Amino acid sequence: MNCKQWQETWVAYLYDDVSSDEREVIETHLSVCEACRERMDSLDGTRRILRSAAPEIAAPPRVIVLPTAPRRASSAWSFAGGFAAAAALFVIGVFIGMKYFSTQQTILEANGEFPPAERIATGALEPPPDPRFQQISLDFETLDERLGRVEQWLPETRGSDRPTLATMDRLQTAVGDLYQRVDTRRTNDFQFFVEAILAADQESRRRDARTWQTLGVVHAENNPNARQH
Amino acid sequence: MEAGKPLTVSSVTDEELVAALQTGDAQSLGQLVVRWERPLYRFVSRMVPRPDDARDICQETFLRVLNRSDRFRSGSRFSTWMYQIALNLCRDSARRRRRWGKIVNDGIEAPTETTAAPGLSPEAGTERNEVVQAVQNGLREIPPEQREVLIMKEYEGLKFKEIAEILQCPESTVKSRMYYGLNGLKNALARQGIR
Repeated sequence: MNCKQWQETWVAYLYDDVSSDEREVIETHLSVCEACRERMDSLDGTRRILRSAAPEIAAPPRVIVLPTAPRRASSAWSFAGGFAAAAALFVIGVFIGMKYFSTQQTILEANGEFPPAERIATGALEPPPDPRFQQISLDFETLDERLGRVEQWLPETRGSDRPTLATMDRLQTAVGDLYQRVDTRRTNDFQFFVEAILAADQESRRRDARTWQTLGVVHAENNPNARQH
Repeated sequence: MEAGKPLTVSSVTDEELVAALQTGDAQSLGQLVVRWERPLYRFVSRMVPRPDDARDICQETFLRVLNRSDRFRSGSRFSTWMYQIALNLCRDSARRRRRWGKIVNDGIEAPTETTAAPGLSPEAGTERNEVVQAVQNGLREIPPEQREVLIMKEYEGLKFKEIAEILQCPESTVKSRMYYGLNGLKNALARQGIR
C-alpha cells in the first residue's frame, strides 16, 4: 500500500469501516509499528475533541408552507359554507403572500402566529410584476459576473504569467472603482427596497380591509338570522 | 400509490412523497418539510456562520425541492438529493460572502448560534465553550472541502458512502479529505493551545 492508501485505511479503521480481515491486518501492524500507533492515536484524539465540541444548534423557526384550498367532495359543497371556507382560505393566503413580499416564495417563516397543525403546500403566490425589481436583480447578477472576471485577472489569482506593474496598477484601480460603484448602488437599492416594501405593505392592508368588508357582506347575505355586531 | 389517495405521514417513505410531488400532489412537500426541517437546519447551521443565512438556505432548499422535483432520479435517496441542494447553496453563500464581504462591513463571520449544554457546572460550561470556540475556529482554518467532510461525518453521522454520494466523489476521496481534515484541525487546535 502507498501512503495515500494507508491514510484512507487509518480513517476507515478509526470509523470501523473495515472488514474483519482488514481489521486483523491493521491491528497486527499497529502492534509492531510505533509510528503508526502514534499517528492513529493523534487522529483519534482529534476526532474525540471534534465530537465533544459539537455545537448545540437552537431549534429553527418553524417553516410553514402557504395553505391551498382543500379539495372537497361535491356532495359536501354548499354555497354558503363552501364559499365562506374557500374565501377565508384565500384571504389567509393573500394576507400571508402580501405580508411577506418576495418573488416566488412559497415557504415562509412562522412567527408563532399560526398553529403548526396543518402543513399543506401550494404553488407560488407571486407579487404583482414590477420591472424595477427584475432590473435591479439583473444588475446585481451582471455586476457579480463582471467582478468575478476582473478578480480572475488580479495578479495573485494568476500563475506564472504575471502582468506588468502598470497593468497590475490599472487592474487594481479598476477593481477598487467597481467596488465603490457597487457599494453606492447597494446603498441606493437598499433604500429603494425599503420604500417598496413599505408601499407594498400599505397596499396589502388596504386590500385586506376591502376583502374583509366583502366577506362580511357575503356572510350577512347567507346568514340572515345572524346577529349583527 | 393510488392517485388522489391521501398520504399519512408515518407510512410513506420520502421517495414516495417526492414521487407524489412529481405528479402534482403539492401536499407532499408539507410532509417532507415536517420531517426534514430540523435535521436540515442543523446541517446547514454547521456549514454557514449566520443563523439568518442558514434559515434562508433551508427555505431555498425546500423551494428547489418543490420546483425541481422532476430532477429527482428514481432509485435515489431523497436525503442525499436534499443535502446536495443544501450543500451547493451553502457553498454559493460562502462564495458570495467572500466576494461581497470586502464591501459589507459585516463580512466578519459571527460564531454559530449555540445553546448551553445542559447539566454542566459553570466552570465546565466555560471550559466547554472555549473548546467549542477553538474547534469552530480550527474548522474555519482548514479547506472547505475537508471541513464539509468532517461536519457530515462527525456531526451529521453520515456514512462515507452517503457523503460520497452527496459530494459526488469516490469514497476514497472522502476518506482522504477526512484524514487531511483531522490533521489540519489538530494543528489548528495546537496553535490555540488545545491538545
